[in-house]
Amino acid sequence: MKFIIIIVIVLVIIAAAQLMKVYELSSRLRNKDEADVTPAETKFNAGMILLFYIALMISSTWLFLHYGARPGLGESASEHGGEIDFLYDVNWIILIIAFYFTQTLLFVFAFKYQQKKGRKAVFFAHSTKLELLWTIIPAIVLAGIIIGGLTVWNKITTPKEDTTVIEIYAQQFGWTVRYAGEDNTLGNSDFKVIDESKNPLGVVTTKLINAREKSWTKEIDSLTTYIAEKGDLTPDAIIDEIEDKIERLGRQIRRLDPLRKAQTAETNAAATDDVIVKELHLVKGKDYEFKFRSRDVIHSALFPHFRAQMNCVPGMTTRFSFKPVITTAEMRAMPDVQKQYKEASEKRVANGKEAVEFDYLLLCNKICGSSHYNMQIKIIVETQEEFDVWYAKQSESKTFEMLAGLESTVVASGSIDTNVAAIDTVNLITESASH
Amino acid sequence: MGAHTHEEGHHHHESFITKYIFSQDHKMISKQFLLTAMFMGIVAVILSVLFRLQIAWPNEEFEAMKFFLGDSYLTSDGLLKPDRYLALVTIHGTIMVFFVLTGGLSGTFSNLLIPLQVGARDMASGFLNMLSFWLFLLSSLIMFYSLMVESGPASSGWTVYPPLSILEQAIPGSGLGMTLWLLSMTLFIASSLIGALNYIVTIINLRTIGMKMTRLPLTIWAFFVTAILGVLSFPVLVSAVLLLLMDKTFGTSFYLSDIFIGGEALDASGGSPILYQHLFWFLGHPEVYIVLLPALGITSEIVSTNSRKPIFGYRAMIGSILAIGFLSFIVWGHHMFITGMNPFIGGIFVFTTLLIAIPSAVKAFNYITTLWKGNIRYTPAMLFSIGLVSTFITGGLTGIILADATLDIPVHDTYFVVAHFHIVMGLSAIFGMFAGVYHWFPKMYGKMMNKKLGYAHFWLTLISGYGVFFPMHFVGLAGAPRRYYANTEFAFLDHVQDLNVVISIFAIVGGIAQIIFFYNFFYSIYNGRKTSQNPWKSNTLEWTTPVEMGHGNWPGDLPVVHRWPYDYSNPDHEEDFVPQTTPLKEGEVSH
Repeated sequence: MKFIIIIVIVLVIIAAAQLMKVYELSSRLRNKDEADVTPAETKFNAGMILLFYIALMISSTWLFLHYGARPGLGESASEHGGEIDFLYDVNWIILIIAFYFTQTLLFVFAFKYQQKKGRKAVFFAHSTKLELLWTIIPAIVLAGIIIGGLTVWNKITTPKEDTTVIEIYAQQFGWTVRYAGEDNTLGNSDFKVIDESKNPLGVVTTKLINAREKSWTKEIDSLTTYIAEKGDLTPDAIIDEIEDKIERLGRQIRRLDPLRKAQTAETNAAATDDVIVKELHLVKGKDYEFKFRSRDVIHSALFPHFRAQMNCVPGMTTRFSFKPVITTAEMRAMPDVQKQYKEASEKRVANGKEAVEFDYLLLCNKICGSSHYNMQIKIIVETQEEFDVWYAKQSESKTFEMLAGLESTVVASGSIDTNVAAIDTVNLITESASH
Repeated sequence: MGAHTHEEGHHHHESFITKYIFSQDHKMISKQFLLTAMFMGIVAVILSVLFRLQIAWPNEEFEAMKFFLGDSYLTSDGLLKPDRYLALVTIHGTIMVFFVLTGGLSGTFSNLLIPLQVGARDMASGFLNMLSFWLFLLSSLIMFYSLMVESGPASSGWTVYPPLSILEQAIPGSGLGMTLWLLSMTLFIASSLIGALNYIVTIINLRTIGMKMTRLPLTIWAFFVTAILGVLSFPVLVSAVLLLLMDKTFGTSFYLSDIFIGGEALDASGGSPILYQHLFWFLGHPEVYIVLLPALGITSEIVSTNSRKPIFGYRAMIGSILAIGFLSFIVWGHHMFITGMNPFIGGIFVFTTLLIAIPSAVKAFNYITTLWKGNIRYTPAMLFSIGLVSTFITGGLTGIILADATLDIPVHDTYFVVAHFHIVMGLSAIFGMFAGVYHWFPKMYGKMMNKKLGYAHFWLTLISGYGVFFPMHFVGLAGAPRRYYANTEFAFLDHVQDLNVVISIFAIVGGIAQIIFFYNFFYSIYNGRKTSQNPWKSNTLEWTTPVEMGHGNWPGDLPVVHRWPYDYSNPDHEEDFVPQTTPLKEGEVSH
């Protein structure tokens, strides 16, 4: 392959060199000035201009007709999305007219006024009338576009009442969903109390802060003991690292104070009924307010079927509201969708992959690292009854408190875990130092 | 004005080093910029063809990847690594935007044309000009070298948004590769600023007798406004870049807050990643016009000369350039509609952004009217200029969608955006650059480029340019996010995978077509036919110098200007062009 590429390139260059030589010699014989364009060249380029223009018109029309404004996404699954789609249609009509009109003028003039011997161009340097014309007409059209756009923009971004709150939490490379529970209020959260396995979202309660402090204090103790007992036998570099770690843990403990002060009985209660899941279930016809957070880098939550998108930025909470209006089942039943996914499945099966069926998806749309291209979760839009059945199952096993291991006796065993963790840390540090 | 008129031309002998390497002659510096940009351009085109292979055929091995990138970019199966894919798009974007279309375009043509077209012997400061080039070369080499770093070059997109660009734990490219990126960009910005100051001073102070501001060719007006935009916006980028460097290296937290990564909570607090975006786009949007205006200026000159007609609406053209320049500073927020910014502010940015469409429309219609009833000579430069007007319109129209916050929501950061800006600033600007090279090659090298190869190059480039970027809009409308290593994980994108294959084929054809240009360029330097003094029968001052010109441009006195540069086919004159140095006839009114 490499060899073929090189050969092709070399051949192209040699061929070009030979052509150039022949051309140079022949034009030198005719004593032609390279700056002048010959009638033959004019004819060739004029023909090309015309051909290109026709090809551009035909292929762009075909693309517009074949793919349309929302290829493969179907009808908007959210209420506001319908308005966005309508606005798109209006804008496309304006833009397509402008596109055909201006490109036609450009290429037709470029073709029609090709160089002819003896013709002198018309000296036409300016015309206030014409210039006003194409200042004012675009200005009027744009005013319409701005008004239309901002009307819908304001509607979408104005906070709505009676919304159900859901948190969408982003991290490399996945999404987590937190339902606010019966009180419709999310518990506080903070990155400092994140625990990968038990509290991935860093939800805060007083109990948890205390547990956290206890486990970190234990860790400090065991590290201090380690230094006291085996310090003499350990290389200085490792002692330094352990001391760093102790200092860091101390700092982490001090950083818990403001969090503890911010907690009240209400915020503790708000957190305990939160339900944390890995799939987003929504009820058709309900208004939702999504709150977005990220723990590491910027992500963007794109809901292509709902015409919704919002960035997830570490250190801040962003919001977007929408109301789903078509259930997953209804969407699957639509003929266009069925056809599209049947085709996709056939192709995938032919390539040895699994068949697919339609699902709403939430995907990441801001570059976030190596698996950016596969950061997705399923969204299921269903009826209230279906949702209730599903939600009841989740709230039995996936409330925040249960995941955090704070229910009943788990706290005690948690502290044992922490002891083990501290020893693991020492081992890890020793290992990494010996490499 | 005309401060140098009493000076004799500089005819002193120069050694090889002062003439070709550490040259202070603007013409040589211009060639140095062009050659450096061409080298960087080749690198960026190769990168783009490679990642297009990945997008169209995600599970296939390619010898070309191994050949150009080496094993460190590939998995053990011979496929491109996902994070290295991101590295390719990042470096492609950085090189194209900054090194080819900013440094290359302004560096080449501002340097070549400003002294020649205003009637000056050289730039205001030859030394600073030289410094500008050497900083540019150094920054180019660092950027190129970063491709070979073991942990990979910067991989967080050409906009290098923190925290991704700061945290090595998030992506390996944010290690040494990113540090080199920041270093290279800092040098690059220094080079741009020095260059821009020099251009501004030269245009203001060194115009020859009679060269009023309203007699300047539109090229000079475009370079002038471009330089002002650069001087006002690049310092903001350099501060953004330096703060990023401090976050990365010295543990500050300007852009970092509340981050938990690699199993630990970082100490950083109080910073905002959004602050970086504001700073970046405060440069980033004027940057679009820093790229585009020189290309539009070049086109104005070439369209007028080759239509044998005055540019239509000279003053309106100047007005549009100024309006675009001013507006470009108050629209940056349209890059950030969905960052969670206040919707009211978003609304204001919608308004200011759409305003830019008005001066842009004026420019487009003025070009078209310039063609009307002309006597159009299809030189390769003219064809590229016509191509530019076409892509400027196409890309400008889709900009109206993206400027509208509502319509931006579903297509933000998708391939629709990629298609839009590649047409309006990528294709347009590169067409302007090609047009400039074909048109002023005789001025640079005293030789003509081959026309037939020029035609082949133009048509292949135009067709493949549209072939790549027109269908790409529909990939974006289908909801395909940009910077995805592969679309295979999403069944709803299967619908547009055929388009991706078509796009990649055009990209390969377009990439290969550039060989014709490079071949023509270097062949013509040595073997091209000798040019006459004014091959295009043009009015501007650069064509009044002798073909072989030394340092100082005009052997005798500087030319004196009597008229505007666009007296083509003036009915009062026999010839269809009237050089600016021709005195007014009795009773003739200056334009």
